[in-house]
Amino acid sequence: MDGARLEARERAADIDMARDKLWEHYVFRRGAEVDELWEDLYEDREIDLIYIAGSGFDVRAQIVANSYTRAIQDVAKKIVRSKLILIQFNNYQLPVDLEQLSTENGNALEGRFSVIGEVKKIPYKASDEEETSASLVLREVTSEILACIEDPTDIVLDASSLPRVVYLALMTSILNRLIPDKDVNNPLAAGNINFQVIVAEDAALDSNIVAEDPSSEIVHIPGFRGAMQAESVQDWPLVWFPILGENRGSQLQQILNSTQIPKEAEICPVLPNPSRNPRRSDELLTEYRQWLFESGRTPTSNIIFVHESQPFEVYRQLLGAMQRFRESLEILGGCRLFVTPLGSKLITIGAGLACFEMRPQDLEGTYGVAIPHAEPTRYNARREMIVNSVPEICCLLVTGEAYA
Amino acid sequence: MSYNINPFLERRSEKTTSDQEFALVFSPKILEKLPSGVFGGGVHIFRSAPGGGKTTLLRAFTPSVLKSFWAAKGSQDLKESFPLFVSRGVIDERSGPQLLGVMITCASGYADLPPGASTARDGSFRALLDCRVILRTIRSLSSYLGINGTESLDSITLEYPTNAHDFQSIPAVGSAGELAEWAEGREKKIYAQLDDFAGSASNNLPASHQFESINWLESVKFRWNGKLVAENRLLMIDDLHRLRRRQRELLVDELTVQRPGFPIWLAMRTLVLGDALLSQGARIGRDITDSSLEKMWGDAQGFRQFLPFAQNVLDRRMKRQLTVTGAFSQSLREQLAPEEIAAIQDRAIAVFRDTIGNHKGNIRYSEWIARAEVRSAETSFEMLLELFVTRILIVRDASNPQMAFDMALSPDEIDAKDTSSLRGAAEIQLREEADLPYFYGLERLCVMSTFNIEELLSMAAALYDGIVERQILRKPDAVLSPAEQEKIVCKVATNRLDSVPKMHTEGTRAKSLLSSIGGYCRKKTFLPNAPYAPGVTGVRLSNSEMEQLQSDKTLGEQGKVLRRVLSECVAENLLVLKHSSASSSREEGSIFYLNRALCAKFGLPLQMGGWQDVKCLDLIGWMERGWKPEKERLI
Repeated sequence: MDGARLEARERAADIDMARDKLWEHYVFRRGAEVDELWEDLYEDREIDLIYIAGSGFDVRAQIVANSYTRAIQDVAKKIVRSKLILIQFNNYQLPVDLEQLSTENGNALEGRFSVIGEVKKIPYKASDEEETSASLVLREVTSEILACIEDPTDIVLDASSLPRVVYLALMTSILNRLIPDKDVNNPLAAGNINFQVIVAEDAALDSNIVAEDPSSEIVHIPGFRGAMQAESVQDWPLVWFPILGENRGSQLQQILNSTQIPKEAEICPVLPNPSRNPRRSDELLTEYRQWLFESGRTPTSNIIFVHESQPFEVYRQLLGAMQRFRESLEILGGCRLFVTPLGSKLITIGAGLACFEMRPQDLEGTYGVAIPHAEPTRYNARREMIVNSVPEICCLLVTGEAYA
Repeated sequence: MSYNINPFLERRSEKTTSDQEFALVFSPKILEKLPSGVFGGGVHIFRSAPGGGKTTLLRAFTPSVLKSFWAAKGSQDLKESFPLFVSRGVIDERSGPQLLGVMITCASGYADLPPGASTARDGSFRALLDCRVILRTIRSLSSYLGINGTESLDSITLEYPTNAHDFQSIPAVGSAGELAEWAEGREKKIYAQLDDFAGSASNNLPASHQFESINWLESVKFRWNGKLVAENRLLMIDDLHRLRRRQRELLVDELTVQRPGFPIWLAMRTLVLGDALLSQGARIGRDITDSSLEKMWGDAQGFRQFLPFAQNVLDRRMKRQLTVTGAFSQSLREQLAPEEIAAIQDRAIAVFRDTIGNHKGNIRYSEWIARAEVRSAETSFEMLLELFVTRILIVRDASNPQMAFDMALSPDEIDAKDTSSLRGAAEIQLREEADLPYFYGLERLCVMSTFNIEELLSMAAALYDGIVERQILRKPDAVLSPAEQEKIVCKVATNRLDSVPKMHTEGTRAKSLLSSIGGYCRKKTFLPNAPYAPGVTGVRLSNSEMEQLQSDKTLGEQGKVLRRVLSECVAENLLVLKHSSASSSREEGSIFYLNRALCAKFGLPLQMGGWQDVKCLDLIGWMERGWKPEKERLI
């Protein structure tokens, strides 16, 4: 091993020894507690707000937006500036009733925010597999949104009606903007900018939204692809954490088909347990049996169970597992850690936080983290199920005053 | 926990198995089909649908796999493969591999490079490819020489002939280790920008003016322990379909223009040809050859050669497990048992009697019917076939408008008219009307794969599960009956069709079109007089229809969609495109045959023969609204 690598490894080990997990202590509220959190956070304070949402078919975004705007209007001293960044998706094939829901959703969000500030619409272009890859489109849209974030006091990312890759890209890129160096003292204070990720959680509805993937193109979250693609790290052993969720078999298959996941890769399926449905993990194992167990030899002892509704628990579990693998595989020269989130939104957010923390600052490290994902471009769900959903609002306050 | 898994489910063997295992499961039969000249200098393109065997072919020429072949040359498993590599000059029986195969994939990030048509953008693509070719070459070389570790790379010295090209970006360093370090650093420099979080600028990517690594690989000499090594080289670039169109065109064009003196193999999915697929043109020239793997098997001799190849693939997989003993074919019963025939005999006879009921009193068919009645006392497959052949002949004769004398037709005429296509029609009708199994046996399994190994393996995997199930249930033998085989393969075929909307860009339309073609073919196949014996399994567009399809003016937007759907179906092997020659009564055209596994789904015969002329407007209607049978006219 050359000197530079050895040095990088020692430096990384020293930092890890010295630093606790970033979100060792965290702020996570759900249901009625969310209103209490907002009350504490905004009471008698001036707000300069960036609110990011999507005008997708999932009307849960309206529930979140209504609760949030009501709270800040009631509690805050003054809303100095408010900007809704509304991402418009024209790249998904939807049935007519869901198309209609998307339009209604977009109009309702726009109407709600135009009362307190400006609305900026950002179209999400469809990728043209021949000319513009889905990863490039994702990167461009994320960069465009980041350019709109000037110097706010509060950033809210509503993941409720955003596709997985979009909120993961936004969350990690915003975190990178707020925490450019994870090793400084008290990094989560982030200049007192409160960054919240909000989700209207309804696991039953999530599992009934059917995603179909006509595209075999793998999307990479910006900042998380070098470990997958760089030729110089291809000989490192690979550990893959597929986070399983219902009806995502074709996406998992695309990852298996399209990426270089060799037979000797350590596969660690991540399953939701505890869960409201105690049989959910078993059902998922049955659903993914063909890909994980019949066509590969995934040891059942590799399965990682994470809490269905506690994203910071997911974060801890996954981060812990990644750190242990990194330490164990160091003797082989390094390792590549891949995470493919196919589970519910809260679990995905927890996984995103773990990946953000785990990602090395540069490519000189002896490991790398990648988030390969096969994004569906066709969704289907029963309209009445979406409209009648009674979700629980969950809020993760990931940076800001609470950590100062 | 370790447990036995289905050996046929291990797809993409090229990536998921170790080199030693790969050497054992690789079937060398494909080497026999490789066009002559692919080991000579120039650019050689290999195309196929997914699962056609491109990457498997390429991987077989990487140093570690070649070494595995050589190391196990005496083993029974490799007795076929080894001589083929020796005869191609790839391996020397005494000294081992003679070819340095360098394999890289285009699936790793080129398409995510910043888009644009500028020289700088192309330059970063070239730069990234260059450093990967160098890195992979050095790794392949260390595998070829059997050395490990970064330090050992320094023992390989690099020499350049005095007349070698001057490289703009590749440094003329003297050791392989030093060059690997340079390439690694350059790749990291590129990725430091590409793999940054969103919101960071990436405008300063390293760039190259040409694919220098090609010239480098051609001219560099490797010296190890004082000897020149690895003088024969082969560069294999896989997954070209993962590049953006501009990148792909740039790569193919520049490589061809550079006229490399060593072979460069490019592998890509047929899908990238897009609309060009329908033009049936082939690019062949002095510096570039283009081969379709499916077409290699699809010629006149192809199937005879594909059958042993497929059987070989299945048997090699079968050897990878211990649950079931014997070859794969031994677990599939090839004949119907007498009791299975007896079980459907009464139904078949009833169908026969029901059809010829109107002609029973007709003296013309009295001897034919009498012979059939006598034969029906037997219990044999031949008897059932003859019964249905007789039925078809009676219906055909009766529907002949030409007046005939009322003289009894001789039974000898049945034998005279009993052709293989007629027997084929009778057999598929027996399945349709009397539930006699048809889709069984190894040969038909191979036909149903439509020359695609992945499709073959998916059916074999399901059959293997059935075989294991019999064993678990303590059935007397682990051999699947024809009915069991048919049930399993039809289920796989149904799943194949059902997966089309999930896996294809125009999936819903494609499924509708395929189902419509299937329904239409069924209607034409199961006419009582079997006019297109053994059956219709494809539709044909005449050249004038094809011209309409290619032109945007006549059919408008719908024409474009149809073109896209047809191209995608052909590229994914769901439809097989064949040329149809002109005759006195019809012009030239293109036949779109259904994938043979889909024939099982629709209960159609497996022979690739019968087709029906259709119009583009018919296909557009089928694609958008589905095919509906015309209502029978009530007289």
